[in-house]
Amino acid sequence: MSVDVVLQVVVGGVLLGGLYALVAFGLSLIYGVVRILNFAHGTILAVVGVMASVMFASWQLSPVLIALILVPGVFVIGALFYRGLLRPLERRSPLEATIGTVLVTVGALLILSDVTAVLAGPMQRNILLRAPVIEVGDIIISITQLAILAAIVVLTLAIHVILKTTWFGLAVRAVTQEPVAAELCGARSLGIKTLTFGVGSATVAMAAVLYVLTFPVDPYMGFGLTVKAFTIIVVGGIGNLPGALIVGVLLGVAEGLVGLFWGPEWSPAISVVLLLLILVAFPAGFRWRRA
Amino acid sequence: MTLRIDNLHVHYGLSHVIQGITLEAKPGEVVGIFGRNGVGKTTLMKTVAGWVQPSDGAIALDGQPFVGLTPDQICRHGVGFVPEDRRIFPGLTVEENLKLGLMQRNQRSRAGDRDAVARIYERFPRLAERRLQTGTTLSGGEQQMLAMARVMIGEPRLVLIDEPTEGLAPMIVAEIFAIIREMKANGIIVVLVEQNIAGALAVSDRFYAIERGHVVLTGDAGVQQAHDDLMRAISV
Repeated sequence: MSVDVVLQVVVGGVLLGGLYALVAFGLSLIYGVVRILNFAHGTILAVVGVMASVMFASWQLSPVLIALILVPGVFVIGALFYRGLLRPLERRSPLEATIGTVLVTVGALLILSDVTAVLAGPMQRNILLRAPVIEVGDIIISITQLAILAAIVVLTLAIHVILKTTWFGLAVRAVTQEPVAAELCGARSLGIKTLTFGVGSATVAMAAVLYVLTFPVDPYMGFGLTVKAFTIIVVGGIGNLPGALIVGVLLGVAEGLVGLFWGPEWSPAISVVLLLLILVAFPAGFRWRRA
Repeated sequence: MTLRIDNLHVHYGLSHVIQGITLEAKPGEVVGIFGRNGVGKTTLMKTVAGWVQPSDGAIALDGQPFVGLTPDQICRHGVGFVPEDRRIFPGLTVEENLKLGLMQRNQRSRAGDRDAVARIYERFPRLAERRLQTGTTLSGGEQQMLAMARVMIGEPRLVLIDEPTEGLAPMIVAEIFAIIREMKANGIIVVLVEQNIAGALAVSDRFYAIERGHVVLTGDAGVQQAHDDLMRAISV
């Protein structure tokens, strides 16, 4: 097997991993602030990906326009989902609230997947753009792939800047670190949580449009993605953007290489295997940040 | 412009922690709350701040009732709470901690925010020196200063302070009592729970002694006889 083939797989893995990291950012943002594990998180990518490919196939809309339509929509739906179905559970006892949020988010996962499969069909789809390619040695990179990479970098920086410089970002970091102290300071926790749910969901929607430009989506792929996002958060650290990006890319590349050397059917298992290995090898976790 | 707590009752499950406390405080008044551990002092503070829901009774500031409001709503009604464990944001810088205190204000502007932070730095040069350090790198005394500064920056009308001097060096204790005097001079109502009774009485106008969820004695902090009665009321 030539080095070029391996490098080609690594390029694809970096793209896939960057998209995993975007999915994980959204999940980590929501978990950090709202303290709810949204099992339907990856399913948002599946559903939005299918919708984007249907919109592209039916009306030949540009992917940018598709993103401009879908991302704000998902923001609103994410915020309403929290307010309508999850927020009322917070008044329950802790045990009932925990079980309730699992039921609601897993239920949303099942319903969203099935409804999408019924309306759009269960098959895999993607958006195939005719784009010129660049050849670096024997490695072929399409302009689409470069654009996706650029978008991942820009989105990551944008999230970083929002978290570091805006009031919303400050409130998000405050609530993630010390929810009690944030309320002591008068932070409007309901508003911050609702906004965070919307922003976290919108992040996945953006990742979905990018994803479907190179990788196939189907209505039932969401749960696997959610598991990968969990892995990235656990290893990279909650609310830690650089950590998530590094782990996401490592995971994407590892999946690509495992697929290449052992066969694609082994790829999905690698995230769980990596998670277990890392948890056993580093039970106290990594220190990514300076103390 | 007064704090009124009327016949307040609080239960933790079956245990009746606060059994009908009535308390009043005027602007510019420091009220000391004394009693042994576990008599309900902290619970009283937490109930006023909205962290614990009372089972009966009323709490009102300037006639505005508090019961049923969430802690962040009560905070934005002008109630600052400095809890015993200070609750500094560990990973945020000193400046970010202070900025979060501004969320208590109902009317804000960019210039107003900048002025407020600048005034705090003028008053607390130590915090200015450490403005870009994270909360966890501060000493205990500095954390207490930051916790109090974070409340002051929100311009509250009522400040609840729970055991502010516990475990701190005498010089810092004196500084903390000086801050409480400044709050009083600014017309803020201060409710102070403190184990350092002598120090607390020196800044207080009046005191309440609490025993098993009841007020067993109230008095004027400036009167020596009242001090003696207080010591008798809360000692074994």
